[in-house]
Amino acid sequence: MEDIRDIFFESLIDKAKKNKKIVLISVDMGSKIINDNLNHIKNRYFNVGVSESNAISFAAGLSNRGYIPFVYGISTFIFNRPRAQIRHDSIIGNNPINIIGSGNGLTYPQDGPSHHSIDDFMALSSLPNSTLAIPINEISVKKTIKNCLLSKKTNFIKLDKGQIFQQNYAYDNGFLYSLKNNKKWIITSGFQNFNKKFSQKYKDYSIGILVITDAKENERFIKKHLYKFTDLVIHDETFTYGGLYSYISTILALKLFKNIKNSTMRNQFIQLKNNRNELRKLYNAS
Amino acid sequence: MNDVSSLKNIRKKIIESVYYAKKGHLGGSLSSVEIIYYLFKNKIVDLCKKTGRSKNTFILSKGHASLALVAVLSFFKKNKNDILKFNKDNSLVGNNCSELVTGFEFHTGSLGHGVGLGSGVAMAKAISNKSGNTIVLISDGELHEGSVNEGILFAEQHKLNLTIIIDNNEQICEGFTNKINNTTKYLNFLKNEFNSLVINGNNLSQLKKINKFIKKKGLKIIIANTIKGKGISFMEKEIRWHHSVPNDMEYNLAIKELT
Repeated sequence: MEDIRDIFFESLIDKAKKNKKIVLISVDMGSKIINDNLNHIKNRYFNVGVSESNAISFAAGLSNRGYIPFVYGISTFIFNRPRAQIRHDSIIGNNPINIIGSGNGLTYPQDGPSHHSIDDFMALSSLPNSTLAIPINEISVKKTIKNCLLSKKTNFIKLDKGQIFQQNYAYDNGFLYSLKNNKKWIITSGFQNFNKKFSQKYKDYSIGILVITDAKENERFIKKHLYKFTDLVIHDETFTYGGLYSYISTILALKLFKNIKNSTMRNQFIQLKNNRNELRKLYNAS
Repeated sequence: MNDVSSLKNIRKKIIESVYYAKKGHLGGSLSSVEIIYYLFKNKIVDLCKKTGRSKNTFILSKGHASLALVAVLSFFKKNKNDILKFNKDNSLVGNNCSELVTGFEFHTGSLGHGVGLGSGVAMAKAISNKSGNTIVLISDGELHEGSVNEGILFAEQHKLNLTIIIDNNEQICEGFTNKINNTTKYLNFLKNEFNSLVINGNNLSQLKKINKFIKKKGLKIIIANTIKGKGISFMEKEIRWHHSVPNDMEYNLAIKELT
């Protein structure tokens, strides 16, 4: 049985052996695959100890000098505690880094809400020039790592725990999907966690699993497959407000609900100084 | 122009910029002037025209003192009249500057980021066998940020070629640092347990000690004792000048003191 984390780190180490710009930064987080390969990444692996904020600033400094850092920690810690460092040093400062969080949704069911990564979906998928990836099999791991190495974006990666999906899914614009019925869809992210009763009830539904968030790409998938849905179930281990439900609903509303006029800010930070009205114009929100 | 005149000239530009823009951070900019001036005058930090970078990297972690750096760069003709654009409409030059402005390697202004960023730059130099120091200027109030502690421990552990200069002007936005959240014991800890140097950061002859000190290996900490609002008598050690704008009378008085 192969764990998704092992698949991801095997693939990453494989790339790091050849690409000497890849640097791995652990926030005191172990990985057997990394530990077994330390001799291949000499001088490019750092355990910074229990210090998430420093890990992100340190990674942004390395990125500024041409390196491709991957920072690894527990999801709820590495995405929440250094929020300011992610925002300022990496995103606004245009120093792309890759942040890997262990845990997605209820990956750590016994550890309580401090470890439940259920509230961060929108926070991680709404920052400009960034993506959130939740790979669940080899195809999505490959897509995610390719994205990390080539996109020049800050990438958030959430890794679940457990056996990878062997089922054959096709990949299209950020989604893995299995087509059964083009009017009825279940949309989810990460591991499915469908129980028997749920699977039985929706057995003739198509399944779409969001594995990489990129609003434009995801829009294309939804336009192609979901615009004519008659029945849509959004099933996920994220909060209703600010989770997958909000994300999918926003894309659908922007395209389908013409009576909801959008006069909000586009996702971009602006460096120019000016008065509030002028900045609103620049943000397309006047 | 001698140093005294040069420093007065720089301070004059700082006062003018805030007066005309009607916004800016005077106190922390004025306390840092000698430190930044010394680094650039003696080419410890020397920006390459082509890349905009220096062999010894300088990171202004106390980003709200951007005006001091912009004014010093303007004095040494290293930027394209950026001082005239300070806080003007559609300008990139303002209270906090990003890497899009000459002399700024990173977007700072949220305190507590510079030591970690500097560690990244220093480590990048180390693993790619490049020489050069990395110098980070932080404020004493910035010591309240836990991330500074994280960065110092990491830089010490990895013997990074990193110099942290603490502009110890003893004030933060709302009052005196030690009355709000006392840093004295932490400064003593840094002084006693790390490779450290304590100087008067507003005194050029004491700043000369930097030359030899930063050539030492590993992490170095300079505690530069300064005066907030330095150079304008009625602004020195006065809390309101953290980010107050001088009125006409105060502006004229300040300019008179600098002329």
